[in-house]
Amino acid sequence: MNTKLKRILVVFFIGYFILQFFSLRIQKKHSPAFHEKVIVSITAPAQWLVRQTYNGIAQTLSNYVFLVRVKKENRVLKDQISSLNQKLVYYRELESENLRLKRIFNLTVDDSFVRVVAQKIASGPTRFEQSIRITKGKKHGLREGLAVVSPDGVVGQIVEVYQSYSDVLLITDPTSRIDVVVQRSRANGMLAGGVKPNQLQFKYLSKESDIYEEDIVIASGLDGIYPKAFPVGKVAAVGVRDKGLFLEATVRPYVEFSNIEEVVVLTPKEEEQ
Amino acid sequence: MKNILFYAIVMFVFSIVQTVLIPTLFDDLSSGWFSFVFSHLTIDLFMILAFYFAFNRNFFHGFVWNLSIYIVSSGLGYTWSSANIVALMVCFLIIQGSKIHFAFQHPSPMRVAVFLLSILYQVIYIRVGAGIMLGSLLSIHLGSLLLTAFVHGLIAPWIYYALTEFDARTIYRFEIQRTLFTTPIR
Repeated sequence: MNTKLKRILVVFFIGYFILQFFSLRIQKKHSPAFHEKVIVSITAPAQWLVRQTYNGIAQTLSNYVFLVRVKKENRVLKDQISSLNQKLVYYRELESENLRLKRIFNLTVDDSFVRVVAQKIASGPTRFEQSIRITKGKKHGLREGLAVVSPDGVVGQIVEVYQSYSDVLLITDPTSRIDVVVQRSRANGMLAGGVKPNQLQFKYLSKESDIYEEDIVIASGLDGIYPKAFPVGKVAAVGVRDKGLFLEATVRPYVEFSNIEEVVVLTPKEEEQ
Repeated sequence: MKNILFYAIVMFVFSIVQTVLIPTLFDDLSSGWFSFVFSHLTIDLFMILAFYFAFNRNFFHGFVWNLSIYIVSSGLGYTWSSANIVALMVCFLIIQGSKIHFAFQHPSPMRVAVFLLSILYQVIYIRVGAGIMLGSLLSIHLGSLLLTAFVHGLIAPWIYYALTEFDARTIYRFEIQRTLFTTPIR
């Protein structure tokens, strides 16, 4: 290329850029300039590629870091869940204990008794004899022959007292006897345990007794152990009236003996003083 | 001494298992499908142990061990403790008297023996403890008696096997005894 042509080209380019400059300043541009288009067409793909690569790397890094964080967070959350679950079980246990204790404190008993709340710690060693061991004993003012009740009804009586523990003979034990009356008809009788688990049987019930299924049976108070009118159970079945010397009838106790956790021992007030 | 300590620990473990774990477990299970089984079943580990001493000790040692079992178990809340000692002693005397016929080399005859002795023990126990006549006792408790005796018969040989193994290591070198199972006697 000769010098003349070079000069012409330089002048052309300078003129072109001066014109472009002035046209920018004078009016708003409607479309990109040619050189811009050229530059964009060269740089944009590279920009896109770099950007995508960068994004990819950034995403990968952030995902990895995020995963590590999530893993850590997951472990922490799992620990928290486990701890909360333990707390939940504990609070549920507290709630259930609270409800049981509320029922115990709402128990309506004759004013002549003082209530001593005790927990069951063990059951009798065989199924034939029905007894439980409770956490109150001589030092809490207990003695043999005291009535043991629960908010549902009569549980039994104390048969053995140790310093801090007592053994309770449940009313379902074959050797247990409790004097009762049928609430509706006032028919009197004696209930004994031992027939079947969680079942009591009337002894020496007169054949003329006014007693039917679903009748409520309460303590008569005549035995001097159980408080008068305290609920014992419901009549489950009545035998045939024409058979035998006495009328046979079975009672289902209100207390579910396998679920007992706390009981109330009733101590006469004079004794307490 | 080692032997006495071991059996003291065994009795302690048995007392916890028998009065806390087994009743709680059976109470939980007795609300399900097998309610009849678990509400009527008793596992009397002390009775199994008493039979073991009657089988595997001479008269004097067996008597002392049975007496110890009675003393320990009377603190477990047996409300019919007088019935307990009667049943224990009757079974002890029967086992001692006919011991020569009880040379068990296998668990199966042992199961039968424990099954029968368990029924006898329980019948005496309920008869003396609750004062129930034999007829009504059987009519009320027959299912419970058979079930309990069957389970005792099932588990007793395994307990006896373990105890015999232990005894073989500790006392048999001093005391010549007929063992329940064939174990090496040092």
